[in-house]
Amino acid sequence: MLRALGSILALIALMAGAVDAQQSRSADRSDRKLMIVCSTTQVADFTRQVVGDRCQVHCILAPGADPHTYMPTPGDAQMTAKADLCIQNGWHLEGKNWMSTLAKDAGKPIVTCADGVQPIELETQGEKIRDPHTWLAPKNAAVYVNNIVRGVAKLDPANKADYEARAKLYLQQLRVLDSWIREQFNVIPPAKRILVTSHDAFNYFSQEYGFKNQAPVGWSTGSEVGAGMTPERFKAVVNSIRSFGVKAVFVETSVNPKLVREIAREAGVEVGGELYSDSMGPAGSAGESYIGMMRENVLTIILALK
Amino acid sequence: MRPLVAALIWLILLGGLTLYMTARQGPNRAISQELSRAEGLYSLVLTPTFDVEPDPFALQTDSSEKPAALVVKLNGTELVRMVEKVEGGKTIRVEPIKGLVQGKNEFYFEASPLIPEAQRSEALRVRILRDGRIIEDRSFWSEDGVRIAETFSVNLETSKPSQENGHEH
Repeated sequence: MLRALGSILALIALMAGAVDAQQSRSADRSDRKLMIVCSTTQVADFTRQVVGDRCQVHCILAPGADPHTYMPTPGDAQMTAKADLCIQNGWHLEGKNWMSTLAKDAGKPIVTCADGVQPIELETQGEKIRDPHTWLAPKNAAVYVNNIVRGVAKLDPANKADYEARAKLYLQQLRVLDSWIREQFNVIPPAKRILVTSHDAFNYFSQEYGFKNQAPVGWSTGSEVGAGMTPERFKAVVNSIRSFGVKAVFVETSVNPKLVREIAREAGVEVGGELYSDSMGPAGSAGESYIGMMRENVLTIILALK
Repeated sequence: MRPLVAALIWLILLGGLTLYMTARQGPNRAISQELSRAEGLYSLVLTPTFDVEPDPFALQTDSSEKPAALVVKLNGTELVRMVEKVEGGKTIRVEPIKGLVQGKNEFYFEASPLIPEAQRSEALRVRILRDGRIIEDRSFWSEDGVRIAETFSVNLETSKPSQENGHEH
């Protein structure tokens, strides 16, 4: 009798141990956060807004880095290999498509945020290029957020409702931002709304808020078709500044300011300040988030042009 | 004898475990409430002072789905969903309002003004009629063109309808 009881108790202990081990294994699995690797700082910010603390979000580019000229490192390839999902801006913002190449090499799914935006097509050297700087208009940023929600929900359907709730709140913040920008720019007469920056990053922004924009460097600071500075562009920008009586020109935080300073000297105008364009600012700066960088850009433009 | 005792102990253990698991899961009963349908013919009349357009800042869980320009929900269920632009000043009439119950009914309205018109304050006028008689008439204002998203409750009694309201920004 005692032996039978003893064997049963031993069996129960064994079963309890097995159940415990199984539970801790499944707990480990559920505790492991999904890992998302993003190419640019803006894309990473949108992703963090959507996933909150549910996923680990890593960004390949550091704040202030230029996505057009960035060369991926072996560390980036290792990070992408561990990712569950990759998210990029797309439309060749990532020079020579470095993000999609990293994802493809690692065999990881990739979401292209710019897909679905109404593109501005730039015709240069006989080629049509979709301007990739779409996020600088908040309504396009909304398209990014929606693409990210769909991508993340597909990866983690169990938490779909959570991602959607976060996205809905963030989309409202983008709407308020858009409304605020329109209100702020009312103080600049339409004739004075001329934005001269380092490179052609502000086409969507200008289209949305009634600016004309000029840039000595083309759509990319890299070596793609239609990119870079030409003497003709330089001359055209200086002439525009003089003929429109532009008060100030702007440098970009992710682009060498030398060229714009040269233009300002040549045209006899001031440098109105730094604008965030292809990259957000470092942690602790006003431009550490997308909404923060847009707000700072608007205030910088107003102070210089009104 | 011994195998019988072992089997009995096993049965007690497994039975206890099953009972515990069932009790822990809790009864999966659907909460049902008997609600009586409100008597009479109810109509909803909406008049925006602005052109209502599909909201570019709407959440789109499906890329093929069009964002809504105007949404009305009654007690959490969608009553109206318009995906095309609605001209300002044009009246939208819903008759009969399906799903109204005796007691408290909550309406939710969502309407997006055109983005270039976002600087003006705009309004959405909402009227609820019972057998052709207005029982509720109110306007929801959008400051600086921000999307209108409002709720309000109507308390429908069998004899005389009365109202109370809530506000959401």
